Amino acid sequence: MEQYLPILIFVLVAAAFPVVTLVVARVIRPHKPDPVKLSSYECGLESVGEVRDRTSVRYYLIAVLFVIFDVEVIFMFPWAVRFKQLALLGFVSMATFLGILLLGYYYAWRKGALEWV
Amino acid sequence: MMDILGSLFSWLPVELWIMRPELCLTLAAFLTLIFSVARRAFQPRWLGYFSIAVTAAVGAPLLDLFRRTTELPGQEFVAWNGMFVVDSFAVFFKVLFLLAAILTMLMSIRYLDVEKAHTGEYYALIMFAVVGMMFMVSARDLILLFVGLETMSISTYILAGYLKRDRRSNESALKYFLLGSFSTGIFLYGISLVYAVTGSTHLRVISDAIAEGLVNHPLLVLGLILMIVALGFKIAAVPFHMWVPDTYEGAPTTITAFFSTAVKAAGFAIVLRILVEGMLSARMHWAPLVVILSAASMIIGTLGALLQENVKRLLAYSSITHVGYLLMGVLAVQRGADTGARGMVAIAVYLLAYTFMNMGAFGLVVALRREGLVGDQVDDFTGLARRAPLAAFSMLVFMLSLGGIPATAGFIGKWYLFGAAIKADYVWLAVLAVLASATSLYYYLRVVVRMYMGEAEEEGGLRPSGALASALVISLVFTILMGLYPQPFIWLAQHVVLY
Repeated sequence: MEQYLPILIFVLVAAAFPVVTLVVARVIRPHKPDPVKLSSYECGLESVGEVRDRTSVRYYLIAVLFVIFDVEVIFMFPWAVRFKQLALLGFVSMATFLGILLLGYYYAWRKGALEWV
Repeated sequence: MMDILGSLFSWLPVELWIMRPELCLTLAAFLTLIFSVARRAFQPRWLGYFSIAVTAAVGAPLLDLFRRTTELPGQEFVAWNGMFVVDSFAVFFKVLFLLAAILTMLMSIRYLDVEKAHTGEYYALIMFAVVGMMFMVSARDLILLFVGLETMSISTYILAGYLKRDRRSNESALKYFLLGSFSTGIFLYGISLVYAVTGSTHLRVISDAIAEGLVNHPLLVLGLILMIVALGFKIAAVPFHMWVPDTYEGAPTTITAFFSTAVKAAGFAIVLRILVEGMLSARMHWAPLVVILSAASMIIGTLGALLQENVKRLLAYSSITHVGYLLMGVLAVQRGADTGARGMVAIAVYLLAYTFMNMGAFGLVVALRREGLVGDQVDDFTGLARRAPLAAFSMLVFMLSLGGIPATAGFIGKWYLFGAAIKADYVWLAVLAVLASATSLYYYLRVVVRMYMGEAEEEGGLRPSGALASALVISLVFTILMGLYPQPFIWLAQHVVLY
């Protein structure tokens, strides 16, 4: 079990970090609230409407497709970096992987998942 | 013919060559998906026939692998760093999955038209689920096993909710998904603890590490318990059975049949693989748990089925009871050597018998379904003997077989299982099983009594489609054949022994 000690220390440090930062910030910061400061932060834009607004269910589909094709890239980066070492096997594996994704893309396209009606 | 087919694949490296069935089925599933949305879209019915043909054709490479793995005892092909193994155990279960899938798809073609939910994706999902099962039974590494399990589970979650406009189907899918993903999490947690203690996810390495004295390590025991809990969810053993009646009732009937045969067989296959190949030396930790699961499943399943008015719910509870019987086989397995081998053969024979008789029983429920009648109430069977004597007779056979009456497949299965339990010194459990199966006759025969002694409210026979009729005939023939002449099936089942 000894080899797990670093992981335990890591977990403790990770847990302590936000707690310590928040507590220290609270203790030493000046406290002068006004309405603008208390409003929720929207990247500098003024917020519009309620938080719990109803969104179209199509967002969900687009989001899922986005995640799939976004995560695919994460898989490709290490392959691209080690392209020479992985040689033909790596190339064929990645080609198969992309081929399957392409089939999925075609399916989603034909099903109209990419259209915003 | 076989040689031509064989040489077609001979250029493949051996790692892929032993995965021919999985590769073919995956490709066919993709083709089905593409065909169903192609610019000149194929009729779903034809996609169904295509899927059935491909699934049946995958039997050819499987038979070839069966021949090769049974040439010598203990013959096996291993690939991908020992993760993927093709032995006669895996091949037997793969054949079973193909059978169940083919019967399911045969039953589906007209049923989906009546439900107005006929699309090609349905067949693709069944094939994806079968591919997942095939990887599960061939996995000797917990990670690969997990990936296979998820491939199967995610496909089946979707299939449970396939009738989009039916509230019960939605409920079924949601409950199945929530409890299924919950148990998946528990399973992963168990794997991670076992990995933390033994340093590997490979079953052979885990087995060696346990034998070398890690057997009482508290984290290992905890991991083992978590894995058994998760597997209990997957095979629907009491007390992890709460999702079963609702899921089985709401899912499309054909898919319920698929759940109760193929998915359950896959669950038992990985239970055996994990417990025998990985955890045999830790049997004093898992055997008491399996005893509890087995006894509770038999009692609760039988009591639950007594009062059901819905045939699908009735069969759901009855499947819980059957899980209880099957777990007795798992108990015999821990004894190793002769008794253990007997337990494994018993499980294989029983799963084979159960596939045919349960498919048949659900097939009759499918046959009753038509425009304006769901056909899943016990009352819908009233007077069927007069309207459709052949259908009523086959339902009679399936019910008697589920109850374990001699001259049917169910009897042979029970004979082997109960015998294995007695040989393994669980006599009280075998007595409980006999009591449970005697009680279960009451609710099986209730359907029969309605069919033969009730007055039908309507006229006219059933008109099942040709595909459904052939599925019913296959189930019926094998249920009777296995009861009268079980030797070939037992010979087949003897190849699953994992020691």
